[in-house]
Amino acid sequence: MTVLVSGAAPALADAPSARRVVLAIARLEARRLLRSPLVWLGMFLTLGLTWVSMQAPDDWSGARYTVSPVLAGPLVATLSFAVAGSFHRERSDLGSDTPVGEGARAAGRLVGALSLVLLVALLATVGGLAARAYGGFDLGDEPGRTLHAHFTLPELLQPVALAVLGVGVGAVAGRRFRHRAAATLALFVGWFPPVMVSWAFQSPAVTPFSIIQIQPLSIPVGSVQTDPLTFPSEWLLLAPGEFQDHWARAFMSTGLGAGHDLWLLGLAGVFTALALPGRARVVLLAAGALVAAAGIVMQYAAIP
Amino acid sequence: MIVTLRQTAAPTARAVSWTPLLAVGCVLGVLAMVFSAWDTTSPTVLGLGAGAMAATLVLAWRDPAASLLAALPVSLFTRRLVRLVLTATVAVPLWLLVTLVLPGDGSALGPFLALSCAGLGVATWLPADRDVTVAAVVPLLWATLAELFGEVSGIVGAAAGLPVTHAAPVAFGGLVLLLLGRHR
Repeated sequence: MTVLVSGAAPALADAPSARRVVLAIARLEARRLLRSPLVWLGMFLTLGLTWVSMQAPDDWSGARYTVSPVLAGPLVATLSFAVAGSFHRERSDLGSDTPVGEGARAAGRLVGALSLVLLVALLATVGGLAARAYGGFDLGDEPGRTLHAHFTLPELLQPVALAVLGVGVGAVAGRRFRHRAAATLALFVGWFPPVMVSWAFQSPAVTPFSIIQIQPLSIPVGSVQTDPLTFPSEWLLLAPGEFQDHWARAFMSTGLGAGHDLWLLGLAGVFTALALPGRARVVLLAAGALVAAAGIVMQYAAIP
Repeated sequence: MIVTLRQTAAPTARAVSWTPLLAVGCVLGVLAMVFSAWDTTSPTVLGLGAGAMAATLVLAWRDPAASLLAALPVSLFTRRLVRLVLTATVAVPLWLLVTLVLPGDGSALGPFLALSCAGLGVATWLPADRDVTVAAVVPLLWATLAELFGEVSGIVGAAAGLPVTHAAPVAFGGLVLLLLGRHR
């Protein structure tokens, strides 16, 4: 009897803490996710799209600047497919037989998925540095025009926030859909409107709710007869043309971009919560909803 | 044969996973209504929507009980044909409805059929132990490549845009693959 008790005590003392368990799962998941062909397919599509976009003739002002936020779209979409695969394994019966609870396993998967967020952050950093080296982009029409437009920090962080959202929607799709194929297909049709038709969600009234926000916003400021020299000289302007019959201000704002990043992070929290078990779900759901609401308010406050 | 097919229709309809088709149909329907409200055309929605809808047809071939049913006198090809007819009966009208609501010209039926046939052709020739989910990637990926790189000049752009520019030959090629593999 004595032998049994003294033998059990060291085993209990050596039991790994929850943190160590989560980190061990995270390491495994990160390795798996970073090796996923889906992620590298997305990287290939993103780099290909970047190359095609930058090779295309810069035939209208702001063409390259406004296409840039969309470039990370394919990578973020495929990243969410890979995360869905990771969370879909949770549906196998094997999970319930393991000595680790679902909460710890989900936390491990999420922490592991941060490796993909870091990958997107790295790509965004390289993109930002390349834009700096390039000397900036052409934006606006005379007399309100610049040839050296650079992305603000919130704009550079948008792909990173998008990646966090990608992890969230991938997690919930993988955890809640019965078949992985259905989850992937749902994610595909969920991602392609905000990525490929992002231009449709850029009006000042709708853009706070968009997934990929493209700055500058076009805000009408005068009819076609208005003398553009009467506008404040610091404004970037969009001249009347094929797509608009008025002068518009090309509105750019750090506050708007920061609010949008908050909105994306809040949305990511809401989606991630739906993939989690127990109390963590309620807490994250509430926190995510609050952050998303704050992001929306901040964006509307920034738009004149 | 016809009697057998008719008898297998009802249990097959219950066994087919309708979730992907309904999910894709709902999203495309909502998008079509939004674009209709804005009176805005979007070839991208048509292009990628065709890929997604074609993928649902390929996914309908996914049969977890395939090895169990292999002992039956009804061949794998016939069972897959029943699944295809059942899902196409829903998918094609759904697709036509989406394109009818979506402003712009054309129903993109050509790209939809081309991508479906390509996916089904690949699914036919997959090794017996591979899930057809792999083949469902074909229409999704090809539609994506057509959208991203279809305008690029040269062989890359031409190959990516084939389901749109040469829908009939692509559909024919897929059908040939499908028929050649019918005894597999």
